[in-house]
Amino acid sequence: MQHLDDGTIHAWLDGALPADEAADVEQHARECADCAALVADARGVIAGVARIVSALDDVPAGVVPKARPVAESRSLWRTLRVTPFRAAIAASLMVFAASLVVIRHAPPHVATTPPRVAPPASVPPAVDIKAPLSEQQKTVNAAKKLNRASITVPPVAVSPAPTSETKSAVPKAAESQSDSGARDAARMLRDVVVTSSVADSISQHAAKPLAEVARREAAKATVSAPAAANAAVVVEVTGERKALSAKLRATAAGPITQPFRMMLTSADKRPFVFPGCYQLVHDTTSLAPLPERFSLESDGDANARRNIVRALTADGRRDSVVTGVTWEVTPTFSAGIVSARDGPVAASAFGRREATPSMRGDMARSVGVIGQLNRIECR
Amino acid sequence: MNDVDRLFREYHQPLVRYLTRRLGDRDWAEEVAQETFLRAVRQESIVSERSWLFAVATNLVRDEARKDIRRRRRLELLREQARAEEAVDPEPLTIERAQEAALARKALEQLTERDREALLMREEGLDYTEIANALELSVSSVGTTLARARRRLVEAFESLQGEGRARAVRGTHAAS
Repeated sequence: MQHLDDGTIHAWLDGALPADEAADVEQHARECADCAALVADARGVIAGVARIVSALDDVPAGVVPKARPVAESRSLWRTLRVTPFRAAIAASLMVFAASLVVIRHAPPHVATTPPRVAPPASVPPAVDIKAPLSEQQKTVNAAKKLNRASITVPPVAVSPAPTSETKSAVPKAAESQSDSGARDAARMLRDVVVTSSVADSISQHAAKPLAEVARREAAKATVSAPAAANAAVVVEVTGERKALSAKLRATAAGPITQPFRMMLTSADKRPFVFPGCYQLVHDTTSLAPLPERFSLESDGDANARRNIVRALTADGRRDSVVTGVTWEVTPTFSAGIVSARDGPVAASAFGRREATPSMRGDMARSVGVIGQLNRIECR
Repeated sequence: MNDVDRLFREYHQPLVRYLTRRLGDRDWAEEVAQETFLRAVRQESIVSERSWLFAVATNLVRDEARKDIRRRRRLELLREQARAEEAVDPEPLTIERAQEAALARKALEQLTERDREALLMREEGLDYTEIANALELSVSSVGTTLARARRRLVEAFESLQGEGRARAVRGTHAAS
C-alpha cells in the first residue's frame, strides 16, 4: 500500500472510510513508521482544533439589544406611516380623483364652459365697489353660487353651480374620459400608497433582524381568528432578566434581562383559540416566562390593539397581566410566533418548576424552548 | 410531538452553536437559526435534515455577509448600547479566556470560507456525507478539505499566540 495522504488519514480518524479501506489504513499505519508519525500528528491537530473551536463558544450574548416593539402610544400618523410628502401626494390624487368624479356628474356646460379655479370657500371674489350696485350684486350672487357649488379643496378645476337652464349634453367621450380618469387617479393613489408601504416594508425589513422579518412574513391570522388544529404559539419575552445561570434556576429573583422565545404546541391536540385559557403542562426549562395557567387575549381598541398574557388564579379567574410578554399566532405556520413587549418581567408572575434533568445551561439561554399547553376553562 | 418540535429539539442547539462559532455573535446566531427553522417548517419534506439545516444556515450567513446592512446596524446598536443602560449582565470572562477566544476567532478568519464551514460542521458532528451535501462537495474531497482546514487553523492559532507572546515580551522589556 502507498503511504497515506493527509486526507485519507483524517477521513480514517473521523471514521468516514468504508470498513475495508479503514482496515487497510490501520494495517499500514501499524507497519509504516512514517505513516504512523503522520497519524499521530493528525490526532494532535484534531485535538488542537477541538480546543480552539471550543474557545469560540466564549461569546457574550445579549450584547445587541433586540429591536424594541412599537410603543403603545403612537400618533395615528405614525401608525399609518404617513409622512408629509406621502400625505401631500395622497391628498393631491384624492382631489384629482374627486374632481374627475364631479366632472363626470356635472351638467353639459361643464364641457363647454372653461373650468374655473375656485377660490377658498370662505373667501369670496373681490367685489368691484365702483361698479353699479346691480353688477356688484351680480358678482356677489355669483360668488355665493360658486361657494355653494365649489369643492372646498382648491386649487382644482370645478364646475360652476348648475342652474335650471343647463342641459344635460355632456359628450359621451368626455364622460368616459372622466370615468377612466377617475379610475386612473384611484389606481395611482393606490399604487402610491402600496409603493410607499412596500418601500417602507423593504427599508424596515432591511433594518430589522431576520427574526422579525420572518415573524412578519409568517404572521397572517388576525387576533380573533381561531388557529388551526395543532398550531403552536411561540412566546418571546424581552426585558430585564439576569443571566440564565444555575443561580437563577435556584432562586426566582430578579427580572428577566435576556430575550427568551418559547414555542408552545397543543398537548391535547385541541386547536388553539384566541382568546383562550391554557395550562402549561410541559416545558424544557423551568425558566418559562409564563405562569402555569394563563390566558392569551387582547385588549385595546381597533387602533391600538395589543395581545396580552394574563395570569389565572388557581380557580380559573383572570388575574393580572403578565408584563413583558405578548403573543401572536399564525395558522399558516405550524408553530405560531409571539413577539415580545417592552418592560421588565416581574419574577413574581412566573411559575417555577423543576428543571428537567436533561436541561443544560446553554440550552436555557437559547431561544425556542419548547412547551406544551392544554386548553382549560376560565372565567 | 410534531415534526417541528422534533426538528427543533434535535437540531436547534447544535445549529446555534455552529452559527455562534461561525459568526462570533450569539444573538445573530440565534436569529439565523430561527430563520433556518422557519424555512424548514415551510418545506414539505426534507431528506437529510441535519445537512439541509446546516446548508440553509450557511447560505443565510453567506447572504448576510454580502450585505453591509447588518454590520452597520450592529455598529449603530452598539453605539446606542454604549449610551443606554446595560440590558444584560454577562458572566465575566477571564482575561485568558477572552484572549484565547479572540485568537481563535482571528485564526478561523484566516481560513477560506469553504474550509471554515467544513471544519465547523465537522466539529458539530456532521458526517462526511452531510458536509458534502451541505457544501456541495464530493464526499471524497471532504477529508482533504478538513485536513487542510484543521492544519491551517492550528498553524494560524499558534502563529497568533506566538505574536502575542512576543508583543508581551517586548512590552515587558520596554517597561523595564
